[in-house]
Amino acid sequence: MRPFLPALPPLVVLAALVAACGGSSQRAAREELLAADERFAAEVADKGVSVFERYYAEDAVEMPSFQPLIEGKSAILEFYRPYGNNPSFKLTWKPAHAEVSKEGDLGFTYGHYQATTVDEHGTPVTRVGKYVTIWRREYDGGWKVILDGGSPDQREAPPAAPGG
Amino acid sequence: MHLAPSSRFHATLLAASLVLATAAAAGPAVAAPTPVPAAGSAAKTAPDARAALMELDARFSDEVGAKGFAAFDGFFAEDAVYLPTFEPRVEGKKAIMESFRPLFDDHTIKLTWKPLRADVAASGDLGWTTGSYEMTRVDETGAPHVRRGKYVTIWRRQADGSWKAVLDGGNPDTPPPAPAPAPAPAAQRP
Repeated sequence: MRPFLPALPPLVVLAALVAACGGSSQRAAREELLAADERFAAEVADKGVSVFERYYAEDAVEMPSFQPLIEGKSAILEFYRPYGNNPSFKLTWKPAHAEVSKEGDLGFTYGHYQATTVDEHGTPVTRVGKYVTIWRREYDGGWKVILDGGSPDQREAPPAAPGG
Repeated sequence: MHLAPSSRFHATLLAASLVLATAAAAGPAVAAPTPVPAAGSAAKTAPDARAALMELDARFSDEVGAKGFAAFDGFFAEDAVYLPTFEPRVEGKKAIMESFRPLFDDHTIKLTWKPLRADVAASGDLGWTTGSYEMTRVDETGAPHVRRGKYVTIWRRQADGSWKAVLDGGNPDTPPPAPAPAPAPAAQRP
C-alpha cells in the first residue's frame, strides 16, 4: 500500500499513535456503550417501550422469538405498541458485556432481560432470557440500536389444566 | 452506511484497496495489510468487507454441513458467546462446541443457514451477519420436519486478518410446536 501513499506519512504516524492508545480509549468506549444500554433500560423501566422510539435507528432490525424478523423502526415500534399499551407489561434488562470497534462507530452489548405481565386469569407471569443489541454511533455521538434480539432461557411450563 | 471521517483522506486508494479486499475475501488466512492503510481502506471498501463476511458466513454453513460441529473450531473465537433459545447463554468456544454436540450426534438433524445481510465497522475490525437458518429433522417414516428461524453472528477480525465469531444467537420464526400428547400421564407433568 505505501508506494501509493507518498503524501500520507503524517497520517500514518497519527493513526499509529491512536491505535497505540487504543487500549484505554477502547475501555472507555466499552464503558460508554454499557452506560448507554443501562440508560436505555432505565428509561424503559420508567416509561415503557414507547422509549424505543428515541433509541432505534430507522434501518434497525428486530429479532423477536417465535415471530419473523421485523425490519425498520416503524414496523418495530408497531410490534411493541400493544406491549406499551398494556399497563401490566414490564420489561427490564441489564447488559453483561459491551464491545466497540476501534473507531468507535459500531458496538454491541449482551445481557439478560426480564419481562413480566399478567395472563388472562390475572396471574403474574415472568419470563427471563438473554439478548444482544448491536449499536451504531451517530454523527452526534449518540448510540442507536440497529439490531436487537433475544430468547427465553427456558421453556415455559405447560399451562395448568383448566380448573386446576 | 456511516463512514468514518478518516475515509475521506483515502479517496484515491479505492482501486488498490479493492484489490486487497478481494484477496482477503478469497480465504480466511490472508495476512492483514499494514494497520493504517487497512483502517482507511476498510472504510472505503465497506461493500467488499460486507460481501467478504457474507461469503465467510455462507462457507461456515457449508463446512458445518460437511464436517459437523468440528467446523466450529475454525470459526469461533476462544471467548465467543452463544445465545440459544430455551437455554441460558453459553460462554467460551469449548462450551459452545459441547452444547452443539448432541445436535450433531443426532444424524436425523441437519442445520444449515444463509446470511442475508452484513455490516462492518469503519475500522474493519468488527462486523455482523444476520440471516435465516433451517433445522430439518427426519422422522422414522423419512418425513422431514423443518424449523426455520433467524440468527445473528458478530465477527471480530483477528491479527492474521481472519474473521472469528465472537457472538452467535438466534431464535425460531414461529412458536414451538405443541408437545405431542404423551402415552403415559407422568410425561405431561411440568
